[in-house]
Amino acid sequence: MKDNDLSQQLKLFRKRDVCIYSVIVIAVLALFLFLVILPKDEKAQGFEIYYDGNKVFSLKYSQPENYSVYAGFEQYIVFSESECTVTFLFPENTAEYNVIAFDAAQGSFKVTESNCSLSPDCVFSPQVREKSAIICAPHKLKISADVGFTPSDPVTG
Amino acid sequence: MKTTYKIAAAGLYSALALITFTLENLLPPLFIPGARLGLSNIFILVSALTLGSVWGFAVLAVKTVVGSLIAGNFSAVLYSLPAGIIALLLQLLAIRAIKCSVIAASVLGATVNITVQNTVFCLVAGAAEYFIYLPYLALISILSGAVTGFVVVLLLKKLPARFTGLHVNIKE
Repeated sequence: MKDNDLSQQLKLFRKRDVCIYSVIVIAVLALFLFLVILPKDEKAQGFEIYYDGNKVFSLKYSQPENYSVYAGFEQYIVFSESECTVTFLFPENTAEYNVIAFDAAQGSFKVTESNCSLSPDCVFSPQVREKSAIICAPHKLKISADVGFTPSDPVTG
Repeated sequence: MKTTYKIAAAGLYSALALITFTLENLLPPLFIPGARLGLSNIFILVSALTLGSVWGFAVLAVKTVVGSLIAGNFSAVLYSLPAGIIALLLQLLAIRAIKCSVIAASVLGATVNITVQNTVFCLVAGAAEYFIYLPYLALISILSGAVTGFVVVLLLKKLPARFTGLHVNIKE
């Protein structure tokens, strides 16, 4: 009977739960093993900004003043050497933006400000020092750690 | 239960799911970007168990689509909706076929939801680097699934039978 079955399943624990919990624990352990423990750490040499899949900006921590802004996006990038920030203006609405702050000495970057949505997950993302990325989906933005710098047709700043 | 009653109840559950989803979105994520308690899933699971599976999926669709519009991130529907559908399917399968507890089903649903969301997001955004967060998100989802499952159990036990259509009689 449906009601009695549900009555049994409203208990906090049933013996059959062991199967479910075992599968979940094994899956989580496997994820930690293959995605966290086994991969080698690769320190970032700089970072690159991609908008809608196109590279728009790149910077090397060893020479931050020699950053590269790629053709067609010059008016959407505001670089501040004194504040160590790169402001990306959203091309579809330049009132929207993301501010990326970098630390060349530590070799890290972080999104410090954005008005992309009610809950800007990009701002809450942790600082990136190794091979990783920060995504701002509403702005189609990806800021990726560069573990091997290869410029292509840049307009240098 | 009459259809008109189910429509009204589904509307109420949708509104509650939207309110909790919107409020949750105003708060910062739990340690990792994209990690949330998923309290809106409480009302999705309650609607699926009391009104029927189809109504549960309807509440899920309303919460995902309208919630994304309110949050200002409509692209989230691309990965939230498939993840939510798969998670709810597995939860109902776990409850009706395997007959495990609602809490275990909720933990399973939360883990599957975040895994599918993260995977689809990485594929759509072309950001394989984001997979690094998956183990931590899965760990947080176990906690969030347990919390939401516990609240669902409390609601189904405490809400009057004339509202849920269930005659729950737990012998402790």
